Amino acid sequence: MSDDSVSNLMKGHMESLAAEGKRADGRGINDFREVKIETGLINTAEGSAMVHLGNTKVLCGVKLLIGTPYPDSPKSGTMTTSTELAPLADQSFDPGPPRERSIELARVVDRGIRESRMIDFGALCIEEGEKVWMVYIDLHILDNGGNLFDCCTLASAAALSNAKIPNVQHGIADEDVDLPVTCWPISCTFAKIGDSVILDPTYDEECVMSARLTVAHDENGNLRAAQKGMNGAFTDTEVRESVKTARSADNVLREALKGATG
Amino acid sequence: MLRLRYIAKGTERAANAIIPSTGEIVLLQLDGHLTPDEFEQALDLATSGCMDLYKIQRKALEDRYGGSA
Repeated sequence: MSDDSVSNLMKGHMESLAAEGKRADGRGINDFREVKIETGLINTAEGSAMVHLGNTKVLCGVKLLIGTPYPDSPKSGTMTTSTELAPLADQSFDPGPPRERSIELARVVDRGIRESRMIDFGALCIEEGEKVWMVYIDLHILDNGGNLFDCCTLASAAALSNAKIPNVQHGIADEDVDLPVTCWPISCTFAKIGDSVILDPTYDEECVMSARLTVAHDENGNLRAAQKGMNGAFTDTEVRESVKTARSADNVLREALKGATG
Repeated sequence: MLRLRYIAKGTERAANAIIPSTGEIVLLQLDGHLTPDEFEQALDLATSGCMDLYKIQRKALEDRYGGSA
């Protein structure tokens, strides 16, 4: 989310702070901002959650509908992730069809959840080749204070863990059951500023970063997804260190998720 | 100069690209389920694969056009 209009003064300030291992908001380079998770806010959705990560605010709704499976996976449910970057959340968000930023955000969040096999897609089969549950994850960015990637992944995980399969409404079974969740992927996003790497970048830090690295681990400390973004580069050591850091740094988000979902 | 390397193990997939002169990683995309050790191995494999490809391509260009640019 590099912005060409950032002043050199700001860029220099951020880089020199990062080089000293400091940040404008007083955090350590590998600290997350304060996180708050609320679940079950939307009655019409099968699952929902609102996540605050510092000033960043994301609302996630999960809907389950019945549809036909893809021909190559007749026994599996499907999943679609979309992100809405509304102009109210950030002056640089434009109204209109989704653009690169919105698409990349949805794809990285989607990858973290899909490839970690957080949802047991096999359990979403109602009738092989005919009927499966289709999971729609809708992410609404209410305020962009930076690091939408981690905030959106966390909001999705919280909303999914809060979701019920609406069996009764669709006449499938006599009771609604919890959406089958198999693991808990948590993503950690790092920003490269100058020659330093920092965790959980704020909006200002994102404006001056040259590259971004998002890694998602499950609760057993295994890597489930990774994605590097933007034009800059990370050194081999920086990538290895970041992955290592993520394994312990994600605990604070994991605890918050556990607290919110029980 | 970039080198791209795609590696796979079971359902795990990763793609990365490095700048051979500096060893910096400019592209990294990974899906799947890797233990910390497996990730380290995957990155080693990808990096060495990139460097091998770089040498082969460089040699091919030198053989074709001569010189040692």
